[in-house]
Amino acid sequence: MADKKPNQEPAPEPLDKQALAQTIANKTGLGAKYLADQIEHLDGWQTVSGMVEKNQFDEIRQWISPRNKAV
Amino acid sequence: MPHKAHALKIGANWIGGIVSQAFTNAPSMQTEPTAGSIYPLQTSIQEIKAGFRFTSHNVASALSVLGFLGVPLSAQVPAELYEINYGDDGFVVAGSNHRKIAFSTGRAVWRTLSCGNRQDAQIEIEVFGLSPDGSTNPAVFSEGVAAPAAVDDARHTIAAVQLGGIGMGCVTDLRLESGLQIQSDGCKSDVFDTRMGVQSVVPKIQVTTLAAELVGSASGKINLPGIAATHANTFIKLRKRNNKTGTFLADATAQHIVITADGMVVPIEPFSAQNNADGNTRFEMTATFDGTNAPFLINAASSL
Repeated sequence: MADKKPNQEPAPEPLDKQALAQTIANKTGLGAKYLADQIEHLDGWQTVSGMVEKNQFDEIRQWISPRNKAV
Repeated sequence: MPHKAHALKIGANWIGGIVSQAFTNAPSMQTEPTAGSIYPLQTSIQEIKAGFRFTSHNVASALSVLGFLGVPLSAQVPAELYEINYGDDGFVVAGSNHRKIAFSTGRAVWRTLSCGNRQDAQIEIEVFGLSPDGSTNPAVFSEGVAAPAAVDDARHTIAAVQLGGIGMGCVTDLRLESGLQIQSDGCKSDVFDTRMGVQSVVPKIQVTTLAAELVGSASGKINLPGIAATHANTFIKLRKRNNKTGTFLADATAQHIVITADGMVVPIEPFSAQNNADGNTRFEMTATFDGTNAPFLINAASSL
């Protein structure tokens, strides 16, 4: 068994992606599966996790939604 | 060759269990006969509102994608309707001989979710197709596509309903409306709609129960002026059936549907009955925004 380095940082807790998507769904009204797909596509789980902690749900919705188009 | 319906695809997600499907155009025609002719000499189309309508038994799959307010469509998340080609022998034509119609701009929403006693819940879905510029057809037609595999992944039915802390007892019918008032429109006299606005969202729940004793003035009852309800004391629970048996999935398994709501509950029909049939009592709850969460909180992968 390898020795543990004395200053090794503890591994971060794995994100509960389903719970995170459901939390965002509750605030934004978007579908949890849709959210999970979009966040996965953007590789943004850590990003949205931080945004959820800051209650930035409008920002999350804008971030994952398609850009407004010029008419 | 006749064509038949298939599942709805939104992005990478299939919504199967389809019982009805429609591709709508809704052209607004202008046909005005003018002086000198009883027949129109000119006719034109002022506007076209293209869309899809689906009704599905796969309520959990639909809600998990659509959530409460629906999803915006994009090139990455289009809505796709399939028309499956059937031969004169009555069966699906082999090979890539089918059709797909897709919207890459617009929004997909659910309209109603309903379930009767012992029935399978079903959900009505509407897809709004928008043009990116007003002149480009919002519908992209693909011919010669392969027939996707059949999709029908689950059945859910009524488990329990509680509104404002009052259990609804012997529930016989349930109906939820998302209540989205959406106006799609165009500008510059473009024929195709290019934008949409959500004017209001006033969701409603209607519950029919045999428990007439729930209406009253005593504690634990709902009086005629109604009561307030919160997400903490209000739920709609739909349980998932086990396939191929007359049993339900274990309550602890997170594949059931739980919807909570905030708002006001009022008896809209305290009691009605015909002859010697069981009398019905109907409650309606209008959901509101509690300042924090959406009026409906939908968990389509929940334990009971």
